Amino acid sequence: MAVMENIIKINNLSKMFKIPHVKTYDLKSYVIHFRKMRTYEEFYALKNINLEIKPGEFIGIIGRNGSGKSTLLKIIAGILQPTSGKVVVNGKMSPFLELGVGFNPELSARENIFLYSSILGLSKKEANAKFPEVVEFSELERFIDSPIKNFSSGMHVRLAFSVAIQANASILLVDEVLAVGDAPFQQKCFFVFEQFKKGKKTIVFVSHDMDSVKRFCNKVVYLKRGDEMFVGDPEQMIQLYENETKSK
Amino acid sequence: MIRFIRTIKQNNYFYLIQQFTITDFKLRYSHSVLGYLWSLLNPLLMFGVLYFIFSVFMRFGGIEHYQVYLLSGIMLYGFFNETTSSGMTSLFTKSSLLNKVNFPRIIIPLSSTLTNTITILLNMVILSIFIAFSGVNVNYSAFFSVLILFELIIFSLGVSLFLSAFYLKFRDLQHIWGVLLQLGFWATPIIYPIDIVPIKYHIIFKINPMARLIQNFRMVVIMGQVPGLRNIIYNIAMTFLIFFVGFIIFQKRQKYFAEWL
Repeated sequence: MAVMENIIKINNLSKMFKIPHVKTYDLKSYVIHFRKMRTYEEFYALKNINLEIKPGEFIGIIGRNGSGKSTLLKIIAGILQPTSGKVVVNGKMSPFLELGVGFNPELSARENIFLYSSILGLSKKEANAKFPEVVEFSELERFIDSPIKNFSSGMHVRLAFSVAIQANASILLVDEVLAVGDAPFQQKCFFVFEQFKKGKKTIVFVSHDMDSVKRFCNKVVYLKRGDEMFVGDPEQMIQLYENETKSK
Repeated sequence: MIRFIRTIKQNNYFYLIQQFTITDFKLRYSHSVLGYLWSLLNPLLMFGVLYFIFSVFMRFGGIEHYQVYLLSGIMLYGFFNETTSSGMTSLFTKSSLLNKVNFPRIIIPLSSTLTNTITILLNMVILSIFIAFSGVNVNYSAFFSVLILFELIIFSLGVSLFLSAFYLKFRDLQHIWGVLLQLGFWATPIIYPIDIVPIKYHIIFKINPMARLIQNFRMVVIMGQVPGLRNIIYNIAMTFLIFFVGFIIFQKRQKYFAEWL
């Protein structure tokens, strides 16, 4: 192929949230606040965002809290609908944004592995086949039948990460993962990310951990605010981000 | 609808539905000593209470096989009650998932309905044992009960889809629906025989889908009669109409669920 096609193309994307002056969930407050109900503020979490992502790219999204990073990720994932603009995705996207979503504390690690596998879009066959690998990677063999409410947060993330990497998607959307886990486990995670890179998977990765962004990403998106965005190579963008946050 | 079924097939969503259903079922009784026996004990205890009041105190004599009459009514209505109540709040209870993962939202109320389907099937086993001891002459027409159960499940799913799609924006629905279910319990011939109601009110039983399904169920199981063709067609049409209305409303609104949470 001469021309590399974009795997994700974001065109003029805007996302507006209506922030009502009074939030109503019931009839009583609806009646009482009938007038106020209709008034709301418009808040643009994202405005006129353009972004092109090519297959095999490892994109880091950085920015301060509330700059719209997670909103952007959710729109790419199809969880939120854009107010205007368009997102085109060509490829199978892993549906997870945050590790361990859908884990149930009452269930055992074993049951949670199968539940989470199904959420990640694996079939029953695949889930069964990958189960030993997941357990081995997580290093939680001993606790496999105890309910995960007794797990430490580190064990929790380890379990979640071990399942999540089994998702057979070409695009992975990841919201803050590497923060937890001890050093040897992090090392293992880094190894997996290297593998993904070699396997030409596309990864969009939101993080506050500049070291891991520097280490893996070959392109960084710095969201300053919802309407101001810079794209460039990691070093440059992180420099820019750090300068701007320090000066405040 | 066909496109929808295709996406379900392509993306291994069957496995997701299965996992949700089983997990729900496990969790529902996870901390009780008797576990899922409660799903059987509940209707039986209710049966005990109602039977005592209406058979011993109030002497609803006239009906043949009143025990089976009453228990089947309680079980079928109980299924509708449970399915729609838990289905309505199902999206809300899984809100963290809705917020983070993209999958067809309909899987949530669907698996909630399936969880309750496990319960009603277990209940049917109990009912069969009950019938065996009651001296009811069951004949081949009892096979129609499978169709009626199927209609009941589809109907309850349709109502659940409708309710869950509105519940996110309108939380009062939970209380309103609670009252309507109470009203429905008395507007359906569950404990009383239909003949004690003046003829001019019988229209209620003709338009009330639950009354139709429960009466048909008793007709095929207790009386051993096959329902008329018009009756069968009407019930199927009614069931699927409700289901499709619920389905279409749900699919139209599902894009925005994550924002309404």
